Amino acid sequence: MQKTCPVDVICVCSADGDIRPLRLRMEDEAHQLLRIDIDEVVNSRKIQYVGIEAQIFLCRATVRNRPWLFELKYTIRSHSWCLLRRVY
Amino acid sequence: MAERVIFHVDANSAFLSWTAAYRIKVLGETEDLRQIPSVVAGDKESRHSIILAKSAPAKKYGIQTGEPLFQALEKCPELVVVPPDYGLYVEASRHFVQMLRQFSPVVEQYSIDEAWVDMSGTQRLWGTPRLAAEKMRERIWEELGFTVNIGISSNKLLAKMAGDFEKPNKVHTLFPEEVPIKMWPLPVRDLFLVGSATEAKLKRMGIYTIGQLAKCDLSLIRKRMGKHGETIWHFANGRNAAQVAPKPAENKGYGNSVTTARDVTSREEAHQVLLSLCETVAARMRKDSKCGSCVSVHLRTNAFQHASHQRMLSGATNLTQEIFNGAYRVFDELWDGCTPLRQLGVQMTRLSEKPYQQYDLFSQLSPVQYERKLRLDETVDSLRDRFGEDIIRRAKFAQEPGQHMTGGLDKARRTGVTKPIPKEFEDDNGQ
Repeated sequence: MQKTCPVDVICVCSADGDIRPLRLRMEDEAHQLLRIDIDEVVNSRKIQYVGIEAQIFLCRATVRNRPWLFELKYTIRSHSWCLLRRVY
Repeated sequence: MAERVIFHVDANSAFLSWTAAYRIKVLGETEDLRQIPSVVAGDKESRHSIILAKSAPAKKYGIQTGEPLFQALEKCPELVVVPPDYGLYVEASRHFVQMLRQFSPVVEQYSIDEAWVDMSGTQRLWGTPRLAAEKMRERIWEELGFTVNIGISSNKLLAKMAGDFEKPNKVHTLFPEEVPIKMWPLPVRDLFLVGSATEAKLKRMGIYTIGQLAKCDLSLIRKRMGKHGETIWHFANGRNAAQVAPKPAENKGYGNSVTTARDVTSREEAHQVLLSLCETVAARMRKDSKCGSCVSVHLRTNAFQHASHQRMLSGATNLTQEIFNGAYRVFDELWDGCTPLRQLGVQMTRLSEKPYQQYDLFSQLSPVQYERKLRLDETVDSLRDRFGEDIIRRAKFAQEPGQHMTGGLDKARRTGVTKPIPKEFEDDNGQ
């Protein structure tokens, strides 16, 4: 099973209620903070499972000169973000 | 008074269904865990990993909830094993109860995945009990995405019995007039509160079905089995006066136990484990402003023999040190010093609540010293709350690799602490 990883996120909450992640931060195994600027939100979808509402963002970023495509999940009730998986 | 209508609502293979819903909806997986032989079980490496939930196809292999994981894998080598996600289960359970409250305000949660709902007087709102139950079942499926069994009756016991009839995704009734037909032919083990020990006793008396128990002479049952016998005799006759209680009963005790990573063979090692258990028990008591005056210790040997012992303290306390002082004395009286132990537990009972605290007349600590120690413990608690439990530990654990707080929920479940970054998120160069 894919493991998820909770992360800190800076995001924009627009006037019409949309939410868009801009930057995320997580701790790597050496306890170093890794900051990732999101270049593009490719798409997003709202989901609901066992009563939990969440939104999933497919994002593109450049990490240490390598392109990353990954999914971020935002859980609405808990206001928490996590990295769901990395596509490449 | 109009007849009461009680529903017992039980989520089918709750943990597995909730994990399956997560994997399909969030991870976009196409394979539904509910359709293949699969189980939710703890860490494979841990020696106390047991099956927490199973799918219907896994049940066909004879896999049972509660059995060790290795045993289940022997029965079905291609079994899909998924780890539990307690955060998800707590959240799902919350939504489940919230949904039930939309049907009636009187809901009593019995466990994480089952609850009683008092539906008396809602007929004009939701229709007949069966109709209301069908609506409830459908809404839970449509809005929450998992199936439930609903038992309908006029008391809690019969509703629960009805809920355990054929599964999954079914509504059953078991009103008192249906008891002789639907409940009496069942084996006595199926009755609520009849476990393996009670079943063996009843079988020795020639009682194999619930009907036989119901027709048995009460005085005989009472004589052989005491008060518990009387309770199950009333149950067998479908009688239970308990109300649906929306507020949970207060804790009668606070306890934690731990199955150690390897057998404990020395007294020092056992004292370390006891201290780490006292840390978590005392912290829970302080959080609820409760003090206890009776400490009990239980242990399980490597041959799975169980023993416990308790003693009264001379006053009520919730200081880690004082509880530990009581616990290790009880332990020393209980243990022979050589039998290897695989599980240890500490429990505090005889609770009292602040502000009525009886200070210990014979304690070495004066009330002022006690208050100081309490302030120190509370400060440690708040530090651990804010910065994680490893922020501060007793010097006794400084050199020890062992955990300084054990028991109850494991660390991830207690603290919700983040997991290490999974491999796939690590940098490609391994940096």
